[in-house]
Order: sequence, then structure tokens, then C-alpha cells
Amino acid sequence: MSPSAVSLTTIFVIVAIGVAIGLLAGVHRKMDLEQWTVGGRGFGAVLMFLLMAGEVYTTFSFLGASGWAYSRGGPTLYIMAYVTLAYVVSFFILPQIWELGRKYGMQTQSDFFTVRYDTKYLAGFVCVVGIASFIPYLQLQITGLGIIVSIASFDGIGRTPAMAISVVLLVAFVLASGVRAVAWVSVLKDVLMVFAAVSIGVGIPYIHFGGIGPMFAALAHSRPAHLTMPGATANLGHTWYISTVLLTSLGFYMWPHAFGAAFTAKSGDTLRRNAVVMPLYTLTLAFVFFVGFTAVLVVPGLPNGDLSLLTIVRKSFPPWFLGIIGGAGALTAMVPAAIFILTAATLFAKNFYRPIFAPAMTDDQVAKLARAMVVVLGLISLVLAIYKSATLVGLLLTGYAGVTQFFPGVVFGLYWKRVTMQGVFAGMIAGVVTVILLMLSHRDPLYGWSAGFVALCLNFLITALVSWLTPAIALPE
Amino acid sequence: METTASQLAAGIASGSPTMRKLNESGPLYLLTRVWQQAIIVGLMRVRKPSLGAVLLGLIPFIAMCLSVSLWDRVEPMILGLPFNLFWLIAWIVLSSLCMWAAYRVEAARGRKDSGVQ
Repeated sequence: MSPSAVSLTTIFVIVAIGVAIGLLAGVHRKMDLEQWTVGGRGFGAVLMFLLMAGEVYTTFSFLGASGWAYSRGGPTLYIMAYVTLAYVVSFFILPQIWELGRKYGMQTQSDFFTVRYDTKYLAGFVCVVGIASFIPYLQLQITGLGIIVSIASFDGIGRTPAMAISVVLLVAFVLASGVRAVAWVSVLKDVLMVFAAVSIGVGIPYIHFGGIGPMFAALAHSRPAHLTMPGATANLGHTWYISTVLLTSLGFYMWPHAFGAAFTAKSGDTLRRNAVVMPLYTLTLAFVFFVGFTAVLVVPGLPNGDLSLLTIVRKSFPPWFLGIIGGAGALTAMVPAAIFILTAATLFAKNFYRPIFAPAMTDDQVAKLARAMVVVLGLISLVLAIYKSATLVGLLLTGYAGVTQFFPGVVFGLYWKRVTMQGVFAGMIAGVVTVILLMLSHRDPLYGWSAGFVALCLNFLITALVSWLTPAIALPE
Repeated sequence: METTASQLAAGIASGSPTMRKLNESGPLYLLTRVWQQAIIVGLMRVRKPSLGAVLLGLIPFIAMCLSVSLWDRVEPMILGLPFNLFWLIAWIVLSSLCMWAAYRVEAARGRKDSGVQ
């Protein structure tokens, strides 16, 4: 067998096992709307942990983090800080969100906004921004799948057909099953990911430099500036680091799927315990950085940093091992992509379309519309992935700039009695418009500050100001 | 009372037929709106985290984010790692410890609350 056949077959077998596990998990269950999305309200601590971990370790942390270590250098460290701090934030908001969710039977993020602020229009706006922010995140996973398949085939299969195959597989998987299936696949994915990250994180520096220490010594000797901020960039310095870490750590649980996952926990206490344990998971990210930094010296001059991890794996190991790493990477892209596409489609049908345009729709019709949206969203992301290229990290930061605009509405909603619907609505619109204007005019970062963070500050200010100016309880006239 | 209130709020959220019927009749509509707002303000109250827990949560933010210009350098290398990378790895573990302490603070408070009742 040729090297490309060996690595591709290995990837295929791993993905097939993953899909089989997912489908088997879905077989014996009745699938009504609640079953399909929330998976019943009975996830225990272990499954909950896996579900959350499955969402954290995405193509972004695997290919994107190493890609930025390779192409940008020091600024990539923001990733270790923000994931850890996101769990710290979760300790102070998720148990409270869960508590309200149980009291009011909330299933999704927009249920929270509907109940708390008593208007379907704010909730509808949250849905639209959420879905729009999901698209770059979904595009990121599909781009990653394309990179994996094309490198594993030793460039025999082009990126575009590889991405098209991935989307078809993904949509079929999501339609055949639901969130419980995804949770079970992430068991396999997590085991493989930890194995993959540790083995290449230790192995690759050892093969080329005799260890992690000597590798960093060599890099510090030849390119010391690459290891600190702003690294290989002109404008990603300390101001950018602080504003981006704040933006992304506050925004982490504003992603509709992450917010919604809180409702599936067994108790508020489970969520607090998660916040204690989850930061330790972030340690495996260090191994991914080791690979990216080694690649700077071993495979210089790649056109796209996101290719660096797999290129150096291909250079250092036999094809079957490349297949295992690629398979882990493929599952790592598919699990979150399935969750994103599922959440975005349900949001559109259940929390946007029905309440605003067709209140008479039955649950059955909503479920059908959600399924149709899975296909539509898959196609939109595929088209974007083919025609618009950006780094994986860049795509994620675009999404974050959007979803973090929910943060003032959530945190004030939980802790500030005086906040009003008008305040939150005005703040959120100001934030989203600012993000769109700054991004479209290529002003991110703005004088060193992350554009999303600038928008978030404005959002907070306007939410507070308008809340003060509007009556506390808006009675109908 | 609480069940009725939750059901009502859930009804409002989903736009149930009962609620839509209520919406059509004037005085009853006003009454339900006032009641519904009272529920939202009253029952929406959640348990606030204690000051101790919040302060413990601030420590990782200061160490890993705000103080970046103090530790973003290559030297001294520790355990073969550049100083900034070593600092962040150390603080992942220390952050987990901070949150464990915060968890203990909240758990002790939870026990005390249920003991009083």
C-alpha cells in the first residue's frame, strides 16, 4: 500500500468507529424535540465532563493553536490563558443560569432572554447573532477537515473535495442522531486527542532536537523574539493580549451551545466542580504548542501556519501514525461541528422562526425545519470555507467578537435587578454594529485593542446607561 | 405558587394558547402582565456568589491576563520552557486550586444556609 492509502485508511477506520458509536447511542431512544436537542435532563458528571471537553478541544486548539505558534509565535499563548479563565468565569454564572433553567424549563440561550427580558424580539436578535457567529466557527472545523484529508493523502486529494466529503458526512451524522450521540463520540475523541497531543508534543521535539528543552533553547537562540509578544506580528502586543483574553474568556460560555450545555447538568454543584477540574484539561494544549514551535525550525516557509502540525507529523512519523493523528483530528473537528450545526439549526427553527413568524407551528414542523437548516448551514459554511480563507484562530476570534456581546445581558440579567430590556437591546445592538463596522473596515485590532473588546465595553456602557434611563418594570400602557 | 408561576412564565415563553387568549382580554391582560413582571423580578433572584469566592476568582485573572507585561519574556528558562509559557502552565494548576478554594467557600455557605432552614 502506498503511504497515502495507509494514512487515509487509518483515518477512515477511526471516523467510521466514531460514527458507529454515535449511531448506536441514538438507536434505542425516542426522538422528540427535547430528546433531540437536550438529550433529556439527566447527564451525570462523567458524561457532562466529556460533553464539555468535547466542545473545548476543537480543530481550533489542535491545528489552529499550533498554527499560530508557528506563524505568529508569542501571541498564541493567549489561548492557554483564555480557556483557563473561561472556567473561572463559568463558576460565577453557570450554576445560576442552571438554577433559572430548572425553574422555568429553559432549554436554550434564547429561552433565557425570552423569560428574563420578556420579549421575543430580543431573544430573536440573540438567535440571529448567535447563528451568524457560528458560521465562522463551523467554517473553521470544515477548513480543518480539509487540511487533514489533503495532508494525509500526501496532497493527492484537494482541499475542496475533501471539505465537500466532510460536510456530507457531518450532515448525515447529525440528521441520523442527536446530542447524546455526540457525547458518546466525544469519549473516543477525547481519548485519542490526549494520546495524539502527548505523543507528538513529546515525540516531535525529541526526534528533531533531543527534547523539549533543547528545542526551546535552539529557538530562543535563533529567533528569541518569536517566543514573546508581539512575536512575528506587528500589532499583537500586550494590549491586544489583555483585551483578547478578556473578550474570549467572558465570551466562552456565551456560545449558544456552551450556554445550553449548562442546562443539561445534573445540578449547579456539578457545574461548580467542573469549573475546578476543567482548567487542568488545558494543560494538554501545551503539547500542541511544542509541536508548533518545533515546526518553526524544522519546516520553515509554509504558506499557511495551520498546515504546520500535520506537515511536521508527516515528516517525522510513518504513514499509519499520521493516520491516527489525522483520525483524532477529524473526530475533533466533527464532534464540535455536529454540536454547532445542531445548536444553530435548532435556534433558527425553534427560537427565531417559530416565535416571530409562525407561532402556530407544531413541534413536529419545527423539528423538520431544524433538519432542513442543518443542510443549509452545512452548505453555507462549505461555500465560505472554499471561497474565503482566513487562519483558524482568526475565524474563531471573529465568532467571539459576536457572541461576547451577549455577556452584559446575561450577567446583568443574573445580578442586577435594575437592568431593563431596552438597556440590553440598545447595548447589544451597539456592540454588534461596532464589531461589524470595525471588522469590515479591517480595523481589528483598533490601536492595539481587540475590536470585539472595544465593542463589548461600549455595549456595557450603553446597557447600563439606557437601563438607568428606562423604567425598572415596563408596564403596558 | 411557584409551580403555577413557572408554568405561567413557561407559557409566556412558548406563547401557549391560554396565554394568547389572556392577551386578548383587556383588564385581565394588564393584571397578568403585572403579575408576570412580579414573578420575573421576584423568582428570577439567584444566589449571589460570596465576596470571598469572587476575590479568589480574580486571582487567576490578575496572574494570567492583566500582569502580562511582567512575565512575557524568554529568560529565565525554567524546566526547559520559556518563562512566559512556564508561567502560564504553572497558573493553570494554581487557578484550579483557587477555584477549589472558591468551591469550598461556596459549599460551606450552602451547608450553613440549609442548616438555618
